[in-house]
Amino acid sequence: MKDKHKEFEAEALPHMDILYNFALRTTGDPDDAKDLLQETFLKAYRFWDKYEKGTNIRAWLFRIMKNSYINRYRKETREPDKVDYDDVENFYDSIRGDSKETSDLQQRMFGNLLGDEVTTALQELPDDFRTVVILCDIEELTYEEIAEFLNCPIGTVRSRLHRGRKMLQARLHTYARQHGLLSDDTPDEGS
Amino acid sequence: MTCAEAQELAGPALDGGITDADRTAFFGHLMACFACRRAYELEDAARSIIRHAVPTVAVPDPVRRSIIEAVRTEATSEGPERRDIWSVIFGRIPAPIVGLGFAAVLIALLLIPTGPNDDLIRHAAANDVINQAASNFQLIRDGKIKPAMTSCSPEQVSAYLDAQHIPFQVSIRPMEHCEGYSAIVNEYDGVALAHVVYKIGGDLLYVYQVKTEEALGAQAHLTMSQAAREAIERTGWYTDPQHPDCNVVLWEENGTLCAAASTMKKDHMMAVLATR
Repeated sequence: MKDKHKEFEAEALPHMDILYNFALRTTGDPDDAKDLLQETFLKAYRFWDKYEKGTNIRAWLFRIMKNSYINRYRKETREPDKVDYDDVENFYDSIRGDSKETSDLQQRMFGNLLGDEVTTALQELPDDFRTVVILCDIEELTYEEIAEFLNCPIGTVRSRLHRGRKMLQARLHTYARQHGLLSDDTPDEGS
Repeated sequence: MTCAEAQELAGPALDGGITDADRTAFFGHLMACFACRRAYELEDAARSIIRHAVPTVAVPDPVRRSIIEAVRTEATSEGPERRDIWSVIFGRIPAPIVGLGFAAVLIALLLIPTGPNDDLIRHAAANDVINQAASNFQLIRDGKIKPAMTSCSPEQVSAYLDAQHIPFQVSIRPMEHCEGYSAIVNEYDGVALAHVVYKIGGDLLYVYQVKTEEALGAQAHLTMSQAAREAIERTGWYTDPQHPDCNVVLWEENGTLCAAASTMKKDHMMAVLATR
């Protein structure tokens, strides 16, 4: 038991930061993130004998966290994620209509959005899309690592990331417009 | 390169997951296509905003300490390692003692009290193993689930199961006075399940089978009541007291969780199962 505990502390606990960040971005609440993190490590400790030594421990821990989150989520709400693809399409229509070149596209399309606003937009994404965006754009994992984390093909990671970023762009753009952060010549949605 | 192909490559081009040939073709397309260039620039802009506006943070010290402490508490509350009950029975004990061991296990199981707390346990969740086993048994009795394969030879049913490439060891064994063996496989929420039915006299013995990890593991898709979970982890067996019209018994065997349901009398059912 002592060896198991020692081994667990040495191998699993160093990955606490990445898991905490994922929990924080997923739940959007530090208390929930702490609970999710604790549940993940306790489960991982209980099932330590199921972990195959030498395999990707970070991916194993991540999968436990993802499942714990899903179980919690499913318990708390039965409403599935809804994707408002209309928002995305409207946004892309507006981009297609914008024929001006600009050297500061980020500023023009998204304004000076703050971290909280971006975090909110991120949390509004459906689970599957948010997860890959967090892992790629915040945690800077490679596609291969994300595929291993999620136990899915790289093609799935690629398409979820593409769609997730598109949805996020649409939401950020809407958000920036609602907060008056965009310059007057920025195209309206659907124009 | 088409616009659709270019849009698919925008992410990999930004994230470094693109071959040299694709990169050349992709940027060649961007030079000629304003819409794709704009989409690429936008994806880059959004990616850059996320990276800078949502920085990674370190775990706050109180949170870190509390988790380390929780794991330590878990470690100190753990009992000695559980030994597999079948290795205990069969492992190093001479055959005559094995017989006595069976008898002892059987008697112990028959005597396990189903205390008042058990009555409070409900298995209403759709992904509850016991709920699924009891419901399936009823559907089989009513003829609403029909086996894919029926034979008087357990070997033939076993060959059918082998051909289904089920990712766990399915238990099917010859039984005395068994008139027919049936099987069917399916999936529940992506989890492979095997179902074996024995017709013994006027009774049916149905055995629901799933990879143990799917019911008891850290990433389990199925659930079980705490009482069932604890009993299986402690003894390898669990008898469920909730069903007035059938008996339900669970056990773990070679990485497979089995849940048997039958109208047989409990002692007969246990005797049949104990011969495995």
